[in-house]
Amino acid sequence: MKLIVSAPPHIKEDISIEKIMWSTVIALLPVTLMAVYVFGLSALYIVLICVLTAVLVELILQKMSNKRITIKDGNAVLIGLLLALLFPPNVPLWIPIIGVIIAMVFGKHAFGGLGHTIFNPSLVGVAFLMISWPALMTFASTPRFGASLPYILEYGATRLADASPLAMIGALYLLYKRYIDWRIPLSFIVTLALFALLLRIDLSSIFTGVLILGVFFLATDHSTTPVTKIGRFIFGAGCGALIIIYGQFGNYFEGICYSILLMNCFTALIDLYTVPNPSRRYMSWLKKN
Amino acid sequence: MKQIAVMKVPERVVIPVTEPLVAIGDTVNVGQKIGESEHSSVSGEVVEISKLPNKNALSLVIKTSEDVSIEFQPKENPSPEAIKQILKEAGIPIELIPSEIVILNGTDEKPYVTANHALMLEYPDEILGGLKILMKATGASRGVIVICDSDPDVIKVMKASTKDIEIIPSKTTYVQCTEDLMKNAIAKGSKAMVSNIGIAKAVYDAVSLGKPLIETVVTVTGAKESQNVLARIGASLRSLIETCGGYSGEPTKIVINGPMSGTAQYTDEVPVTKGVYGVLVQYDGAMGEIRPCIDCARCVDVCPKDLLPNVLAISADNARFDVCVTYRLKDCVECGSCAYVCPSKIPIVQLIKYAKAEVEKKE
Repeated sequence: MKLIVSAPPHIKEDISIEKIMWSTVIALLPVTLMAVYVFGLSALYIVLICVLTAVLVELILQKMSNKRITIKDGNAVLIGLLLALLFPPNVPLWIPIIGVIIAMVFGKHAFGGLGHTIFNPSLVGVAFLMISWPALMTFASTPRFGASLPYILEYGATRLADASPLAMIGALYLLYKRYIDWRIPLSFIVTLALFALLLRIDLSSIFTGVLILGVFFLATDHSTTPVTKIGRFIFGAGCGALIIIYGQFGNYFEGICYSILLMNCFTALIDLYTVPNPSRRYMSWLKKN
Repeated sequence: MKQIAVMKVPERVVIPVTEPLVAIGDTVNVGQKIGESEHSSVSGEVVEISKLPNKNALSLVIKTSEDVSIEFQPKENPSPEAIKQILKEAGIPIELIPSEIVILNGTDEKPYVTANHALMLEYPDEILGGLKILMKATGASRGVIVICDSDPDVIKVMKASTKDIEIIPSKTTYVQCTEDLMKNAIAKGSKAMVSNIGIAKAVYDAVSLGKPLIETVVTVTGAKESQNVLARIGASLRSLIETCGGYSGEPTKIVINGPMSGTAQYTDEVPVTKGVYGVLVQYDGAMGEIRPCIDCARCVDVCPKDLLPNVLAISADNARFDVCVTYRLKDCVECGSCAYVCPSKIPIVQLIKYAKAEVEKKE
């Protein structure tokens, strides 16, 4: 009789990185389908190109560096899909390819791959594109206006994720399963609503599909957000406040991307200052090092 | 329905002792003192004194013959000092500290361990008696039994048996390891002592019947019939599992004391010792592949001590034990909740234990 001897616990919850990633991808499928319905085949091409490039780049990088191939865990697919949803539908198809390569190479693998990223890889890609080709990253042609159902089917949408904000209802399932954290979206939305009330901003101009994508899928990315409970509240509130600042002086799409990226910078700092049961010891350790 | 099956007397028992009082060839009887705080659980002949099967302590191997038990003599109405002496003599692993409240932990690691549940249904009066003895010995004025709220039958039985002991239903969560959390929640600052149901029963047996601790109730899970068994101290896990119908396949893991914080065993020859309350047999021990930490913070959310298990695990992995200490490594109760919820299957508890050992080495 051969017995395994290992440290406790001897039972584990039925959860894995694969499960989290693929569930998130599935939660994003309805909005992707709505985007294809609203924008036609061009949206489908963008999504397919983004996802395929992401998987391919990860495969090549891991083959090159002799690492374990992890394309099956869904993280590459998720990064590609999130990036795709941030594009306007008429973007030239080489733009998504460059964006995904930047996201995968400089966003994810340059930092050490899954779990070691500092900035949300998808947003790194978008930020690069927005600085390099700002004209191509906005919706150039006139939107197809038709009979639109507000928030369910937006014919006036300018980006894939805007096609149907309510199609991202799958986020609720992720929250329920605790695949994404509830504290960040909550403080994010509350801060946003508070500022909007104070500054008398029309909330409906902020409430777009990209915002919902940002609140529930981009701002909740595990590796790039704080781990402490208070830290996650601060992170969400910071994102909310920054969106208003960006939005008031620029545009809201950039606000969503840059606010989350900027807060990603603060993640380590927030974590350090919000360690539960704070005592002077943490601070003295900080000074020593 | 009978809650506890009685195990038939095993052919041989292995009892770890600190200092043997008997020699090879001696005949011992049930209840006879064979070590400083150890008693023979069977009658028979001492055939071996060796360092088997656990290499740390000497073990007496006793081959069973006819069951002859020595007569147990209870003391009449003992004083608190005398109770302390009796408990020590009876080999009950308990530290009596003067306190105001005595808390009995009646919660179980469900569904893998139900020993407390069974004990309370079977021996409610003995347990209450034991608690009262403990209260007398420690000078406590309040006795509390904490029971899972998913055991309404137990709560009913216990409430019917007593009026002066508080029965507190607790949320059915995994709290087995967090006795000091329970203490803080109930005692709210005043001095308290936490013990468990099995000990209370043993205390009653020792003081009111004069019987030393030679038997313990063990929940066997994963054998053909999962049940609670009254096992003799020193019986091997194999004989215990055979009492429950034997293995139902090729076992890959045998765990003593619950799946969350129990210890995996090298062999099924390991004897039942004092403090064993559960045996879990697993047939698929695969724990999944270890992936990098993604900082999902699920461990942070479940930690009962408000620690950051992810930081502790990563720092331990990188041999940064100073960081571990700053992040309150020593507060960890090794409950295993963090490793249970980890999607990356990181052996967080193992890393924390490793860090604790390294820190201790340095001090």
